[in-house]
Amino acid sequence: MFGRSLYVLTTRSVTKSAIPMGRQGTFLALNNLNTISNSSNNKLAMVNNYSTQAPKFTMTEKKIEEVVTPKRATSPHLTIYKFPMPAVMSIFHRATGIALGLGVAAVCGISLFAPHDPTYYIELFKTQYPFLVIPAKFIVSYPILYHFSTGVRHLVWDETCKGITTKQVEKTGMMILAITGAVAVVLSFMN
Amino acid sequence: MFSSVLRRATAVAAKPVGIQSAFYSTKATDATLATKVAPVVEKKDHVVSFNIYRYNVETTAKPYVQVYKLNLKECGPMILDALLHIKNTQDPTLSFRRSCREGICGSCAMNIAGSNTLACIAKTTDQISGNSINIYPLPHMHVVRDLIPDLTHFYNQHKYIKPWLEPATDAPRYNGKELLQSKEDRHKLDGLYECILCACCSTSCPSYWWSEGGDGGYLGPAVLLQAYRWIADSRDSIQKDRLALLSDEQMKLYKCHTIMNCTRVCPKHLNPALAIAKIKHLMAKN
Repeated sequence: MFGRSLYVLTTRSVTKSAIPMGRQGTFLALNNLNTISNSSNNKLAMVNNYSTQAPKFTMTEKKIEEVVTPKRATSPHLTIYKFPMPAVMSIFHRATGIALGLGVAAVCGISLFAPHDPTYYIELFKTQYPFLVIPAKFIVSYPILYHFSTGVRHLVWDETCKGITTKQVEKTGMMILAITGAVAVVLSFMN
Repeated sequence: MFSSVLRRATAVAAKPVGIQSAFYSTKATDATLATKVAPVVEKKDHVVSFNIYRYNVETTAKPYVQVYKLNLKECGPMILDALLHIKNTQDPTLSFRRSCREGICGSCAMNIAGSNTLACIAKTTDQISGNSINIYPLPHMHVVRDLIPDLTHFYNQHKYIKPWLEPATDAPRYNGKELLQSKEDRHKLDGLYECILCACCSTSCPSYWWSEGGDGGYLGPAVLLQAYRWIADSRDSIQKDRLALLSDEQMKLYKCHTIMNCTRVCPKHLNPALAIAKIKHLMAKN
């Protein structure tokens, strides 16, 4: 298909080069009849437009490399798509994964480069902001639990090929959200 | 015996229903019919604004959204009817693909009210939100014009998975021609062969959006469902080659994260996500 020269139809009367339309392999050059209508022979052009006779044409050869596909816009995607619950959960899985990675890196960085141990900073945080301890615990524990349980769900899917229907995925998703939320709340109130 | 048939026939003819009533209708039956048929409800005016994505590479540099006001009383029930009505009465330059108007050709796949579906089987009244309907082409595709996406890459990907049967040369044939398969083997293809390649599922997949480019890109749910359709066929002999085709680049198959957008939007109610999971399972075993 590729590399072969192809024939492009053009009318004799059309001076403007035909614009290629269509797919990669098959190009069809359309004759734009409006190009021959100017102010002086408008009536003639009208007659030509509504004539029942087929317009005369000649065949000219063009290499496929010479035919330029116009740069086309990409249709909108993220901004217009209405994401259902499992898709949002998948995004959240990715987000919690990134956050956990960054968190581990931060703890490692502190233990490597900071003057004190991470435990020292945790104690400092506890004494400085005692009212923020419970929310902080929740913020740490919830992503761990969520990422862990959705990860286990992925393993179950890959191993058993079961539970992969829209309804089942929604059901397990709701269960994960509810259970991880409850456990995270319990953990954040524990000492 | 003959008399009993005759008796039955006369009994049937005596009933004032069915075909007989149409030919021998009396005043009494007319009256009963008139009371039975509910009075035709006059459709109320229901003006809805259609926000439609417009783009023409030859005349406009940037895509824009054009609003068409349409009285639903005047047109048919489906989105495709509304689009055709707009094209006929308001703007002949509005362009979209359509063919069968009954959900079997897959031409009129587009993004309606934030979700991909076929315009011909999407009821207009179900898609209204805030008295307007947003209609876009299939997401993250190159737009040829208005609602027409360029599916070249999609079709090339479909070609890549060898969508044809490759039977073994020594396979036993019925009458020297037909390749037979058992009923059980045939049932394995149910839910796979019905795909109409409308590209609704592939273009609903965020993984497909971000990694569809190039030869090594993600194949997408539609093409992988088709790949599994040929892998699962008992008459096919090149299953291992087919799996190798999918695994030579990690991106081709494993970009699927079971987001399930594909299964949700499929207008034929197929399950591409399950087919992909089964391919992954086969990969892990082989």
